[in-house]
Amino acid sequence: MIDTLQMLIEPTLSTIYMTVGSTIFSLILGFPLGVLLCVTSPGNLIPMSMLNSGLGRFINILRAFPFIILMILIFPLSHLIVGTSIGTAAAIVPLSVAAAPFVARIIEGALKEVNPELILAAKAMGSSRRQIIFKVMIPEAYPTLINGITLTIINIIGYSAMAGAIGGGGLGDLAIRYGYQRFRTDIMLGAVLIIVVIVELTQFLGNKISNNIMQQRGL
Amino acid sequence: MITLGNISKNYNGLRVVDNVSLEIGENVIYGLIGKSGAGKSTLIRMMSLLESLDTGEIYYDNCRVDNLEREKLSRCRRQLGMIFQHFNLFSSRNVFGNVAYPLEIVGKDKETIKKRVSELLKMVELSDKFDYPISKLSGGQKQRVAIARALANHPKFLFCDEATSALDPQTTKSVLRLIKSIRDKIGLTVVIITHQMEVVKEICDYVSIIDNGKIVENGTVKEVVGFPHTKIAREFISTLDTLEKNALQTITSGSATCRLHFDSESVTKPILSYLIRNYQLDVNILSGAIRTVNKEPLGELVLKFIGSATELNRGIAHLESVGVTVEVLDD
Ligand SMILES: Nc1ncnc2c1ncn2[C@@H]1O[C@H](COP(=O)(O)OP(=O)(O)OP(=O)(O)O)[C@@H](O)[C@H]1O
Ligand SMILES: [Mg+2]
Repeated sequence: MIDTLQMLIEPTLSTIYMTVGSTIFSLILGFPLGVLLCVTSPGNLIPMSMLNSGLGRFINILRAFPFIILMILIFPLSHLIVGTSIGTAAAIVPLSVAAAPFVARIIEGALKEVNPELILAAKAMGSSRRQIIFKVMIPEAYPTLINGITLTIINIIGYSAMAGAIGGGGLGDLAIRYGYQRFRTDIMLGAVLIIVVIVELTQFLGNKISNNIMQQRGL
Repeated sequence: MITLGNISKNYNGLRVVDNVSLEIGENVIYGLIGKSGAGKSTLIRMMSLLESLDTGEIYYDNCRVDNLEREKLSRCRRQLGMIFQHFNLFSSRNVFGNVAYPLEIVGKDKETIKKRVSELLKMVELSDKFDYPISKLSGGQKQRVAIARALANHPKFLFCDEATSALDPQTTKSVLRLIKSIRDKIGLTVVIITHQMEVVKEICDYVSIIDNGKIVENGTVKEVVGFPHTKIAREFISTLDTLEKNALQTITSGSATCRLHFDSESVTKPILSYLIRNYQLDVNILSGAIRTVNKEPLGELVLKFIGSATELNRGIAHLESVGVTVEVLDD
């Protein structure tokens, strides 16, 4: 029993590390893309149809790639960035790249929901484009953005299990190696349970933050 | 002063604003009234530089503003404030934050912002609500916040697009009075878009009637309400009293039904009793009203005259000669 628990500790930390790291990097990659996708769409702040449709297509292609293939294709990139293409740190690279287009679409959707009349009002007051994006559109979309980011984190937790296949470590890896290959059902169940708890906790926190914002706004 | 020179706008080949020229003087409250789809919103968006022009020119105080590049355009827009039918307040900010927004974007420091916002909230009588979320305010209060926000950077012009259309009559009046009192106190040129004659009558100095993107009638409110030339103008004016419309519908027969418009001078004279004593005419009063427009009384009477044709014509001629406009409705 103690033995089992001890075996679970390190993979849990690895999963958390992978998830947090990948979330941060996928946001860094995906957030600007999402903003760009939204503001360059027809009738929006800076309509640029060529850029918009090109970017949209690129993101769709990236999203269509099966994760496992993307991961292998990205090996050289991981090596370039982290210095190795195996291990937890290396897994963050394909995870971030896989989640970034998803993040971009989520951000795009959330920003498009902002009432265009508010943007008109901000324009009429002489706001610059940057002010409209950062002081109006993004704050107005906070609750939807938080929900979208929560969803992203939960997706990354799921994908991170697959990253175990390239020696990424983590709970998914543990479950496969011990539960599936060595018939240690207790370890497999433990790993699955912890993943479920992490997912539930993420969802709970996400809901709480977004509800708090709504409450502050009296909605 | 705002000058529009022959401005036009087409949407998909449809001419929505058609060669509009207009001059709006300093500290004037100018009404633009028209039916739904007449092009009012498009016109005010063009005036407030939110919409490009297909043809024409716009000047603010003799300075051309319709051809500015983006940077200058943003700066130019800071001379204007705008309020909307649905208030368009930011839900991500509370009352204070909304009024502070235009000050933040011009880079005012925290202290200055705080001072100016409390000044503005006092002006719109919402000092006690500074930390309220927007959703907890009534419609009238929301529009007051919007007015405070619009005036934060001391604009020269205030544009109002159907700003009272979502409010009940009582609140409409109080918001209009607030706008007027601000104009009187700090000086402001106000352009009001509306489809309600009540609004025009309540606060405007001048009014233009817009139909199909064209200005069809123009003048002081007194002139337009007192002496309308077009059918559409009369339609708008007739919405002022439902009483009078009802009265008109009950006419069954008679020699001549006329609508008489008295100006502020003739309204105070005993014109009608003179008419009856000197002409062979009987008079039936169908409806009547005296309206106060900008503190000056304007009279309107709908009468049925009974008598011979010659007496009728002489009577009407007499009325015209003493400054009453007579509109013959049927005979
Ligand atoms: N962005 C746009 N693209 C295409 N057509 C437009 C656009 N904006 C307005 N129109 C059209 O222009 C005409 C005038 O619209 P506008 O909104 O200016 O009217 P309005 O007088 O403000 O009407 P309402 O009282 O209903 O607000 C309408 O036929 C409308 O469909
Ligand atoms: Mg409109």
